[in-house]
Amino acid sequence: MTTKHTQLISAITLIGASFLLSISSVNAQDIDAKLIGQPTQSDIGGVGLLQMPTARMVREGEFTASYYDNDEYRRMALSLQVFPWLETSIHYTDVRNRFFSPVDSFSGDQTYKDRGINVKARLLKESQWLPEVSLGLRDLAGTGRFSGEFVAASKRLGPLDFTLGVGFGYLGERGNINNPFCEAAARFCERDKSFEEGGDLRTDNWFSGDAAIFGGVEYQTPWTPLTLKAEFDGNDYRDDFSLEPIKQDSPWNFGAHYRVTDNLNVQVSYERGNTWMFGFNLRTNFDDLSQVKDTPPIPAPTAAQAQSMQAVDKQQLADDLYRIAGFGVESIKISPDGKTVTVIGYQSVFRNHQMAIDRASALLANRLPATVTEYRFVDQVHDMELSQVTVNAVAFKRAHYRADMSTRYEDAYRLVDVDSFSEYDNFFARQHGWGEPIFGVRPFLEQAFGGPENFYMYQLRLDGYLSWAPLSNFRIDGIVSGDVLSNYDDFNFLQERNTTDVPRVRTYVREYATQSDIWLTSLQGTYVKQLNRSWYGSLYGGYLERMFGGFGSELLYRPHNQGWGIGVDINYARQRSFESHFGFRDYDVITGHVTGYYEPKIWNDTLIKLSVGRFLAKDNGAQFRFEKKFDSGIVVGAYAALTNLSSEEYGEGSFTKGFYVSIPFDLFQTKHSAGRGSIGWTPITRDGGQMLLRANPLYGMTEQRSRFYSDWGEEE
Amino acid sequence: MIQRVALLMLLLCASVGFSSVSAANESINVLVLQNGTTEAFKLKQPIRFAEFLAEQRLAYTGRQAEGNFSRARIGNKALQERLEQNRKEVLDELVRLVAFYQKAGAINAATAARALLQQLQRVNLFAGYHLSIKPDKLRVNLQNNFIMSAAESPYQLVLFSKPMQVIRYGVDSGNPAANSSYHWRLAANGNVAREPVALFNTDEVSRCYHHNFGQPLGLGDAERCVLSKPKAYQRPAYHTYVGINSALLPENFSGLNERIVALLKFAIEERYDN
Repeated sequence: MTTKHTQLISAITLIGASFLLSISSVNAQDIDAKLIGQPTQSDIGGVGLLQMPTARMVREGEFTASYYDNDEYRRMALSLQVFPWLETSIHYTDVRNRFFSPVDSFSGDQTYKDRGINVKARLLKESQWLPEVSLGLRDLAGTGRFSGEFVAASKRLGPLDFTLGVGFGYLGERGNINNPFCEAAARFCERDKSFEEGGDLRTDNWFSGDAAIFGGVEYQTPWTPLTLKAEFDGNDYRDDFSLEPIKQDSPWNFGAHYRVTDNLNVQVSYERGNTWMFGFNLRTNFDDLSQVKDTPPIPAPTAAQAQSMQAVDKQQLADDLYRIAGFGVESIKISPDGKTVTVIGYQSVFRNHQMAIDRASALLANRLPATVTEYRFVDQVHDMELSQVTVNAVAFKRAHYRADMSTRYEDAYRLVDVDSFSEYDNFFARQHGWGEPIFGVRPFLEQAFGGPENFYMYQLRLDGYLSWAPLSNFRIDGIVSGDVLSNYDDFNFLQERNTTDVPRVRTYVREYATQSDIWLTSLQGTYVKQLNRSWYGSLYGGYLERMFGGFGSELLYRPHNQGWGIGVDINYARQRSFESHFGFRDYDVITGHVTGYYEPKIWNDTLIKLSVGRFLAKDNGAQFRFEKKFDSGIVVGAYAALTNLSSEEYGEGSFTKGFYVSIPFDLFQTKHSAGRGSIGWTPITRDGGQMLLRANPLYGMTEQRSRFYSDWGEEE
Repeated sequence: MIQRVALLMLLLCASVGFSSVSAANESINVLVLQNGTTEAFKLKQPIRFAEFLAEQRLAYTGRQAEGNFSRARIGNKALQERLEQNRKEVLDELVRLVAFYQKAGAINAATAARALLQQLQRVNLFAGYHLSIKPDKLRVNLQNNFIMSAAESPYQLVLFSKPMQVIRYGVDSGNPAANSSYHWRLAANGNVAREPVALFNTDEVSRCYHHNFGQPLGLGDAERCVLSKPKAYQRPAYHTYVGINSALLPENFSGLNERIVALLKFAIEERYDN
């Protein structure tokens, strides 16, 4: 890169920074008070100074998308504070002066993109005398070009926040100290600097090789939006991956971080004594997000009630239970003594289930005679009775009518397993008939980032969907899709590069994406049955997903409100033809897993799934999946699958992994909604560790057994 | 004949007297405490709280401003007795803590515990299900406009005529055993907050506990919150409590500061004879 080019980049950086600073007219009081004093992001992504990390953590739920730019690298990162003590980041580094591969027909003129994962865990919380201490791993499971480890300590003294740390690998290239672990074991003295396909954790390299002291200070200026940073870099860049050698005139880097608004920050820095960097990040917090709701009021208490159940308009009651409380009523039953009324149905409108119960109970309190002393709401899905809320009508009415100073709605509720009501009389039963199909059209964007052929690959399609339950426990779901816009024909997994015997179960992406403009994405019939109190089973078959069809069976044991379950599924799957119409290819497989589900109490709002079994490519192994739910209802998840395929057999990436975010629809609208949408990211698509996709897995259908994706208040 | 009439009259008077006694037993008693004085009301039948305030001209009149409802609280004798029982338990705990520190030779901690003991013995506490009453909202929102009935009688309604006198409770800041990292704010509406006040934890978010009328004697559910700092010219509108440094509390005394705060949120300046 020429000197003039460097100067041009620097000038643009300065102008851009100045422009952004000048257009902001932020006063200190405009910044959300929760952000004042919060640690800031580094250039790499994640909390830190500039190139170096600190020990600091931001608030749980903090999500940041960052972009930083200099002559050699463009860095993009997504960071999420999963727990108060655990920060995670995914980053992409665009090496601007290197091509992705020398094969023009494979990756064209795309520059090299390196991706990796950063993790930082707090070891010690700061106290009056002790610093905050954290340990971090950078560029985990990547190629290793930017990998490094560190231990850092940070201590605040008023507006100054000091950091001192020891870095290894990329963070310790300066080598200004002896590696302390080398004293303990010889294997820490040298670091394997060869770079592989990526995806391996390479634990042998951790805390090995060169080590360096790094540090710095962050100063919160009296002007609230502005902080200044100075750091001593642990890297000297002599072995850097940039095609052009990176020259470091000074180990000191200086920068300024400015909060433009609550959600936008910019950072300008002068690094290595010769380079300007500019970047910005967008932030939000998954615990804080909410949306004002247009909620019709709970029906006001009325003095007039029916004198007997016979006087109650049953059809009107069922209709109002849906209209006011979101309950799709299947039936209403009365106990032989007339004191208990049970409403059986499915609540589909309110993500907060207690809100629906408040509303439904108020409706019953107003309509039913005073002789009814208990209401029961049974969640039923396709004839599976999942959960029950028992409402003490007397206590509820005391709260509803404010009959005393202290009774609350929730004092009347108990969340329990379903009681038997076989002896109850039918008061109302919905005429099922053949059901009403639900169908419509919606757009769908499938996308992938960081591929060698193209950094961003996408397919925008229109899905015509159908959902129909002709019987109470049998449903048909189907999607027909049409291509609108796509660049998936850039996907170029060449057969010649595949030198292993691993069946291609997922890498025919290009073929599936390009051989048909209209295709049948899925058409599946599912039969479900509750076998016993906590046992559920299903049979399913059809065109289960775009690449595979077949049939299978699933069994699930899920006790009520225990936060765990165990299931098993077994399937016969056959690879579909590339046109994704009705034909099949020759490849078939028996695939299935035993899956354990667990919501650990030590980590609130988390769900762990471990599936062990046989995958689509006939490889055996396990998939581990972790989900974390935040206060807004957003769920973030990650998964990894390890099988008996070697890294060489698997190919680039070494093992299957991915991340996704599930977002409740009602964060985007003023109406209530129990639905969700997901965005996923898979670093690279290969054939090992791939599971069969299908609709209506039992764990999702039995969500009410122990609510994770929906909310409930007090539980027994 | 006259004797029969007299007997009849006697029976009639007795039945009226008897019914009067019965009615007296079902009456609803309300004590209104304000400016160190107590005013008693007797209601013959259940009535909503807002109606009571209107009928007794405590609100919705010029007297409403005198009532300083932002600090008002309504409770009853049963709740007050439970609060006093809690106070007794905390006092017993502090007595044991003083003895523990004295035995361990921890002079500063013993001094701190003794100071807390004396303060809690002296402080006036008045319990309330609902604190910081908003009379205008009572009339349009059923949320706090409960029915006053004999079941919860006698009620205690505490009104304040003067602005809040900010009081600092707890351990003297010069005592090394004082918690210099976190202080507590006690607002008039029953909400309390644990606020980071040290140099090292200024970036920490506070923890707020919202008063729960269903469980008024507890602290309520905690959530992260950001507290606004009063400007230099503003008087704080909350009491503060500085506890014993948590690191100095033995394991079986853990949570003592929280239990003290749960009492102090009902502290008032005026003294009444119960």
